[in-house]
Amino acid sequence: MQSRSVNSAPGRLSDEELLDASRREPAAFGAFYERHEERILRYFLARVGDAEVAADLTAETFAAALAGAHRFRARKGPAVPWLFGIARNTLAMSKRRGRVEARARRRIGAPPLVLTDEVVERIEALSGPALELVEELPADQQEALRARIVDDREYADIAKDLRCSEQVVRKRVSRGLARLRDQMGEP
Amino acid sequence: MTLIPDLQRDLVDAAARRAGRQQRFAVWLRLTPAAVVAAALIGVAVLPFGGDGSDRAPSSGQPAGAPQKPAGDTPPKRSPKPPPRRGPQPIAGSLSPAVGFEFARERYSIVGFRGRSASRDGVICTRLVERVGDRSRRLVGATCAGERLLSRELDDHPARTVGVGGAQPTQIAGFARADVARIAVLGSQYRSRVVLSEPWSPEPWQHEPIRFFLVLVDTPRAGARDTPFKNHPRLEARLTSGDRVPVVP
Repeated sequence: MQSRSVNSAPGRLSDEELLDASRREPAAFGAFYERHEERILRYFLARVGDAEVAADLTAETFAAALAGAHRFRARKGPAVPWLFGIARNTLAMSKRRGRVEARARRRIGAPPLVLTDEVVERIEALSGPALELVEELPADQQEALRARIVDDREYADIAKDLRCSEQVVRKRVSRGLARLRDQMGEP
Repeated sequence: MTLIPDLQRDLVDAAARRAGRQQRFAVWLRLTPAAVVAAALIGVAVLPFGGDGSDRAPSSGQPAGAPQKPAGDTPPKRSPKPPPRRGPQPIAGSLSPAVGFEFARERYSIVGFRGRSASRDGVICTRLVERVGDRSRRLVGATCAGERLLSRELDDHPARTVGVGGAQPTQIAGFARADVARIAVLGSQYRSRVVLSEPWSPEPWQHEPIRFFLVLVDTPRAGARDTPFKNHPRLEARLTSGDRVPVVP
């Protein structure tokens, strides 16, 4: 991979280039974080419904991504599914243990996350009333809709994750959206 | 602008620390072959001269100028016997600075290192030697822990014992995270000495720096049968934050 400097124009670098550059230039990981922070926060917020827990899970996910950035290989796939894979594992592990994992943060020497009320409010603002209605959908539609709409992921990526075809994912999203429109009284 | 700016700053700081460590490791990788070649060249240059030249001087019982015995008849002077080699051998560049100390009128030195092992993951070890005289050393303790297991354990516990042994003195060895400032011995009726190393990274090491520790307990010979496993003292780790947590046995 051609090495480009992140300091000059981080916005021009792909996710994969940013991860590669982060081994040499710490600011590259900052740019990678900035680019994906919101979607990862939304991902967790939609699943745990608590801004502080979502923030902790986000911190742990990015810490694990930083710790594992040297193992990331762009030829094996893009960075976003890789990041969501870490997020899924973090969530699963935290649910299993009954507390938010902090192993990766300790590993990279990151201090505990302290959130101000202002930050918590900003995170809470990411969830909308529609998310509450999503919970009333069948589980398969909920999963597909969250992945596509809330997490803004590609159909192919979601299909791989849910172990079904892209077409099935599209159908679930479409049916889910139709139900939501009905519930919200939209035409 | 991010939603959690503090998190972004912490991540960039952590990335900077990791990048610095990787650069140091890369420098070490570049320098080691050069150092090995230089050492080999020096060795080749020095060996033909036969050390300090004392072998070429007349022996004390012979007058100067007396015919010398053929070199083949004289048994070569033996160099001091090297300490017996046991356990994993250190990988170059992974050694911690040695920590020297005295206990019960004996002088010791302990060092941490990454050892070679048959498994894909390395083992992180300590080696304790007793200094006898000016040069001679005697291996009196060695402890190892698998790298992966150790890093996981230290994720969950600030300090962990990995080996207990020896009868007199009893040795308790382990590893601790860098944020452990002190290891304290609780409720021991015997004299003890705690050695805690500075944080070090047994390169190649992808985790936070660690420390090794050693506790020597001067158990009486009569009680040695019960020690070290039954009556060894409880240990407590005191963290830089001020917290106190038990050392996990």
